[in-house]
Amino acid sequence: MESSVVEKNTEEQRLRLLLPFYLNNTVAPAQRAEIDAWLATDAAARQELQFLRALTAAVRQPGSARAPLRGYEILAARLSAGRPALSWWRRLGTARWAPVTAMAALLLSVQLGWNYWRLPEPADGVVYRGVVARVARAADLKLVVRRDARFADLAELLARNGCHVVWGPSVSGELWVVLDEPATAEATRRQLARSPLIEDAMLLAAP
Amino acid sequence: MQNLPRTEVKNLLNRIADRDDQASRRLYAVYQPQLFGYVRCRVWSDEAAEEITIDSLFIAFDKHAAYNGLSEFSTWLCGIANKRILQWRHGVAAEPRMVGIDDDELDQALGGDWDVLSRLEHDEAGLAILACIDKLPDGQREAIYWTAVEDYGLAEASREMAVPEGTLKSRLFHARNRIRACLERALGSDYGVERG
Repeated sequence: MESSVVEKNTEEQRLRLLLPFYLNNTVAPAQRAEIDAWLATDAAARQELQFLRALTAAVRQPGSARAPLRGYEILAARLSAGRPALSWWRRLGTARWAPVTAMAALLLSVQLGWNYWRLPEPADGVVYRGVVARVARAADLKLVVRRDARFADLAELLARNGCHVVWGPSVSGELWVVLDEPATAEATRRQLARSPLIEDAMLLAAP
Repeated sequence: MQNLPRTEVKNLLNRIADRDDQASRRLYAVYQPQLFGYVRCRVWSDEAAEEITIDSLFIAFDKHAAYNGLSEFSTWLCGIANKRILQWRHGVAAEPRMVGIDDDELDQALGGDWDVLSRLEHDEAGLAILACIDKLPDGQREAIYWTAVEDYGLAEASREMAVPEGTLKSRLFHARNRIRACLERALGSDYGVERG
């Protein structure tokens, strides 16, 4: 049935069958020239071509006139219905929450950067509300001073031996001192013990 | 159909899998109108075409891993839509037909009047043609789609439809004869087809 038209194969019929391809510009140049010549002499052929133009315009209309996102909400609802709910932390990565997540990450980064570059270095010792409390060193030596020793003589002796009082004197004449050179504590102790101002000198920590 | 680059399509599909709403909107906006045009040429109902189009895009977005990027995305989409069209056809009673219009009889009227559209307003003509296309056999509707919408050449369209070139030309010729006869009948005229 379908091939019966082709079999007639008259010249005019051959060109007529090519009209849709003439219209969409896919015929060979030689065939185009033949059809042009036929159209130039045949008014009915020109009407048939015009009819094909109207048909083409009509059949293109449903797709071309359609809004791009028409029906999208239906699809989106079906997509979300077919998927398990995301945990809260994975929702942060979805497109809707991505700007919020990105902003939070940015703010956190700025804060960390500020802390690193702008806040002061941690101080040695204990800091309480930003105030550094220096911790006294543990005493190296404990001295027992003679009751008749003069303060000026004692001060000179301690300064000469690199000693600093960290606690005392007690009522029994005890002083706790640290040394500029803790490594020489034993030698310093012997030196001090020989002084007439010192009754006793004890080493408190191992050198 | 106008296609996005395949790598971009795959990227968008991956983003859709990660529930990226912007990606699904982008892909939908590019392919939905084109796919609707294709489906509407194959079925004779706006509602059915709408449903099949959205169904096909839903399957494509949901089963995104099945798209391997070896063919154009539009080809893959049309394959999905074709299966849905077949399912839909099984579910409806019968295709609308042009009663009393026979291809053999139309073949005898090669010199018929193609000026039938001059009796219609421009807007009416488009709607009337679409109504008549809805009554064509599926093979003829498909032939019109590939040549008039996609601008495929003879070899390309016949390859797409898996029919000989002669068959494709005949289908197109019969289709426009039938549309003309349908329009003449709709206008209530007695001119046009001379019955042998």
